[in-house]
Amino acid sequence: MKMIVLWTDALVYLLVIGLVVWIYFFRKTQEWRLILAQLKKRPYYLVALLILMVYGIIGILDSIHFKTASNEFAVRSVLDLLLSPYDHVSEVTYSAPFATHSAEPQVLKTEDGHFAEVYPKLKYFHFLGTDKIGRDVFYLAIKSIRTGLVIGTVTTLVMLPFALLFGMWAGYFRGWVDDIIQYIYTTLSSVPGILLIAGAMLSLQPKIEADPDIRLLILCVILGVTSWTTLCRLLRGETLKLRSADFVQSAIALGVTPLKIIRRHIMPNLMHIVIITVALDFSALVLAEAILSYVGVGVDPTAFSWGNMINAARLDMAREPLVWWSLSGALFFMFILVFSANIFSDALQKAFNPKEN
Amino acid sequence: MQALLSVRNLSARLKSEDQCVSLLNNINFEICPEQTVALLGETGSGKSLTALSICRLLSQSIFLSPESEVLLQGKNLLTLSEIEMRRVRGKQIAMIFQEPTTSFNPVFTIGHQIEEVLLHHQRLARKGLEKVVYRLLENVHIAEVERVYKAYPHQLSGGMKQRAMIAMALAGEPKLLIADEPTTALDVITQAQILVLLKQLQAKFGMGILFITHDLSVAAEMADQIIVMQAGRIIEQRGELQKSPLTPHPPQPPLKGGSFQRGGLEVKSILNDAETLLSVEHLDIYFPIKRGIFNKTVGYVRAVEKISLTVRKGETLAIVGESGSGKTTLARGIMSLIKPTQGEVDLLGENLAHLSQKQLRKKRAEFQIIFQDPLSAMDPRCRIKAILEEGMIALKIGADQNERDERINALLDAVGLLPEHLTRYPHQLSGGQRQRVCIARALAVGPRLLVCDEPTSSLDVSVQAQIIDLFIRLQKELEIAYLFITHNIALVRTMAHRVIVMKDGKMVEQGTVEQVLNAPQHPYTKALLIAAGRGQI
Amino acid sequence: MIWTYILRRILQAIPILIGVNILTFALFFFVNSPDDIARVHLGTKYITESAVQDWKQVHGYHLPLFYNQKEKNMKKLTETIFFQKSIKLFVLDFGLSDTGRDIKQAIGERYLPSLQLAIPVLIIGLLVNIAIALLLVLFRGTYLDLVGVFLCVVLISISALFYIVAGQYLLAKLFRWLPISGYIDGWHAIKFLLLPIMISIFASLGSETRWYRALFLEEIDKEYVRTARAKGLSEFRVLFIHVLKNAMIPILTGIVAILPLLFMGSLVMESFFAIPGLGSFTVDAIREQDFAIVRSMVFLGTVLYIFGLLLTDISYLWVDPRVRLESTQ
Repeated sequence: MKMIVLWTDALVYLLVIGLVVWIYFFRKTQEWRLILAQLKKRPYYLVALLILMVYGIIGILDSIHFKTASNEFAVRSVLDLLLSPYDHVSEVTYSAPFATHSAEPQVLKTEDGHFAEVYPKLKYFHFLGTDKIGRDVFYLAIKSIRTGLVIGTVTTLVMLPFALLFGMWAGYFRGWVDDIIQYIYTTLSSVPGILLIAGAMLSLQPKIEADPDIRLLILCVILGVTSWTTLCRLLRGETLKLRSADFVQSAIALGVTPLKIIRRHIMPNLMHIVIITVALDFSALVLAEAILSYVGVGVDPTAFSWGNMINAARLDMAREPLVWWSLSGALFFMFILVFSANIFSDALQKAFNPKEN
Repeated sequence: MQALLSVRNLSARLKSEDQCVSLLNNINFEICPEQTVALLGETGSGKSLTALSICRLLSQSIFLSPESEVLLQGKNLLTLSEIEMRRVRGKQIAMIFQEPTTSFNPVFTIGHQIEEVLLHHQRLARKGLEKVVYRLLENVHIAEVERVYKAYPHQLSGGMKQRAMIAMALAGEPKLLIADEPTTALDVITQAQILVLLKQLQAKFGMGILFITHDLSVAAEMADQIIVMQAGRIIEQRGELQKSPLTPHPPQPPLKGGSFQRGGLEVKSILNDAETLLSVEHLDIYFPIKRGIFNKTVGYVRAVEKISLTVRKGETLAIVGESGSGKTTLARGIMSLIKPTQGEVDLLGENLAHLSQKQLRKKRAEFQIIFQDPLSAMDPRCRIKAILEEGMIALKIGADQNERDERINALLDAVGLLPEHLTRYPHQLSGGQRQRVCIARALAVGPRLLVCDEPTSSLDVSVQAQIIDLFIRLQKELEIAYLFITHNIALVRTMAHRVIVMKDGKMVEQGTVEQVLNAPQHPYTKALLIAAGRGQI
Repeated sequence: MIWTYILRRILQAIPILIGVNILTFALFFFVNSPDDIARVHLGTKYITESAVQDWKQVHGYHLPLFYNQKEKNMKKLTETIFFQKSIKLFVLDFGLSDTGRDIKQAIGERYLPSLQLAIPVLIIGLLVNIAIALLLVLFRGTYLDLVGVFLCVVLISISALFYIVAGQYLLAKLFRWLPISGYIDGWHAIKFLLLPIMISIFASLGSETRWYRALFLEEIDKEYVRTARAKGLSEFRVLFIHVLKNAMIPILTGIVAILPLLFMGSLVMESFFAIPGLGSFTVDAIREQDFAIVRSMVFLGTVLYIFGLLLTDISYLWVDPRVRLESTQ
């Protein structure tokens, strides 16, 4: 048994460690208490958080990959292990949820030597049916969770440093630094988002064709690099406001160096904006993945993602009988994740809204 | 005479999801026609709430108790349907508010907004409407009626807007006018004019007026009856007989009065040859006016124009002016928190503009600033100890932690705080305590000059006196110089050696306290002193 | 005065356009050399070096990137890929696509269907969303409001693709009320546009309504609303006249900002419903890896976006009296 660490796996580990560290420092602050108060006040927020945590655990389990001695070529994850045998077996073709027989007839030799069209019996039970090549739809949907999560979170990892650094810098130091940063983000945000992403993915195509994992990574980086501008603008505005607040002016008057002021007085007061934006962007990114895959600049077509499932299933809708389960499965799991994220970000917004308190 | 308005057993509660807070408790009073009743109290006393209750303009989460009664000429307003109540509002009862800028709809003209009342209540034909509005505007002594009719709110001055608001309120020919702090946002001179206007209009139209204010002297001037409120209750009612200003003495609630309780401390006079700490010469601070989101510089706001002053060791120079006079901008310019456009600021002989960032930071140990609102001057996330230490650490005062701790303890003593306060957060302290912390923080770095920007204005009156005593005592002990900014003439008399009067960014008069306050030369100074004499500032 | 302002804004936009140009140039050419681009288009098997060079020659990629030493004078700069491909964009000379079509002509043919789809979506959507938002605000605090907000969150959480697929399936396939996809020129296009228009409006219902509702709620807390009520005006008048007029300022300027982008069309809608607009043009180009077209669309999109910002500033002048008139203070 040899452990394999993909690039995106490494980032997932980094994120988890980062999250734990951050929570360790964060639990003492006022924001933490406000969030907890909201969770207590309205239990449905807690439910949303739990759902998010379940998805998170599934994603983490799917990020621990290994190779077994018996099969040198198959890289499996812990999730695969838990969901086996569905990860490596398949039926012939489509089958409906809960069905016992395939949806497509096949020409087989019957017992008495004749060829007849029969609906072959399925080897396994499929909760949500199977797709065109016989893979279990439920399995596909669960495996896609990781992709969605990675896109929602790794992108943020890339985006945050840019947005924070540039935003605080521009807002605090103003002058020519501000002008340059404003020029950069105005230029970047002038290009319609999807076009910029498409353009970037296209031009990087030759480099990323080989490895789906690298492609996912590059996609996250591109998404991050193209989406920091909105948050940067917000942080810049807030920093400008904070800078002229009396307590920052007092610190300046007391001779505190700019770097220390930024670290001590400005950054902690920006946290609530960052948290809310990250939560909102998360759901937007998960939804965007589907659209990007449809356009052709999303994840690799062979990777597990809801976007790919939808894309493939789109053509299935024209078939008779209607093959609806692949599409529905993908949309359903995506919906639950995005909906929970939206509900939870609502909790965050309420927590930081002074009127509520 | 039957009462115009009769409020009986008025009680209100705030109902939120988990708690029930009592806001008003058993309010009872009456207003007769042509009579003015003043509701007097500090913020949070419930006076505005009472007024809104009468008009039934409370927010959805506030509930009135079933025993409450608001009788307008005998009819209980609280039992009316909403539709019927809408016929009362604007017609029988009219309301004017404190902030005329935000109380008008910014996207409609004044004329349009006044016409709205006429159309809604009087069902007048559109044709002669303009003339009616002109007449209403003339009633409130607005000369350029046509210009004001066509103007948008932001195009008028504060006083003009308030007059327009009064005109709008009178458009329905109300029997009762409720005025919620109508003059608080205006400068002294305009304030006086508006009060006179209201009295004239009352005499002319025979209205009853419910006047809400936190200023005792204004109440005394306007009202036939003063009702004092605190924490949702009426604690005192004075009728016709006692019209003279009340002198506050404990245990009465804090009211804005004209005099200060002196702790018996006298300001120490300074020697004539004391060294000059601060020298400001021809200081200009201009801000470019950038229109909307164009960022086009169309002109300059001259916040501070050609100000020159000096402050010597151990003396207090007071800067007096109203809001908008530029005194706060001046303070920040001197402190090098705002960059002056022109002129020189010399501290201990060194021109601050010529110092590098690093040198300037080091120099900051010599001069510090105390802000008006101590709560906003402290980072709400920091404990008091960290707040006090910050300057010392930055300016390397005290060689190690022990020395700093010793110094902190000495400071706590000096300003009248206790060691237990060190572990608390700013919001856990009272207003007076917070300002003490800010003073201690400033003193921690050992400054020789303290710029104080209205340090007591945000505090309750009873606490103000204590803080002033603290300032005087510290000056005696440490020989600190103060650049003391205030709009309170009585404070100047108490604390300062010399005084400068500012108006619209310029210095209109300066001299010793005796010279300026007892023998003012400039008409503006004189007007200020008259208003002060009335107890209004 | 207004013309000098417009001129100044245009001048300010030029550095942005240059910046975008350099950005896209870097994106397309620094990451992949022209050789790589040629190989992508020639396929994966047995590419000879001469085939690559030929392809580059035909498509103009044979020149040096920035600086041509072989040529004389001005041609040192003009006979480069940078000039040929990028600078020309400034005069909207988009050149030929990688497959040989004239891009400018294609744009000219295809912008109309995009507009035909985008403009009704905008106008009808605006009316519908504002009406629903105002309704929710009128009944704020009641169960209607709570249910409405909840529904909005649900709608936002559902992928746009679901609306498209479900809408297509239900209305086109199952009930056969409308065609699944396609397009005809002229007025008959309506029956093909109806479905995508309805779905587009429905897809953005959740987020738009929620945003407008938040705007209105913010306005309703302001003091002038209290004054209006104190004057005895009905809640209806307060909302629909006083609040709406103020809230329209950010709404309108927001709409104006995206007006030019309507030309670009919706990438997803157009390709799903086979509408021959600029959106599907772009999607096809992306799928075919036609760099020339994608570059041109990126540039065009940016120009339109910046134009939209300019329009926004001007519309502020028109709509907000505080900005329009000079303060006499």
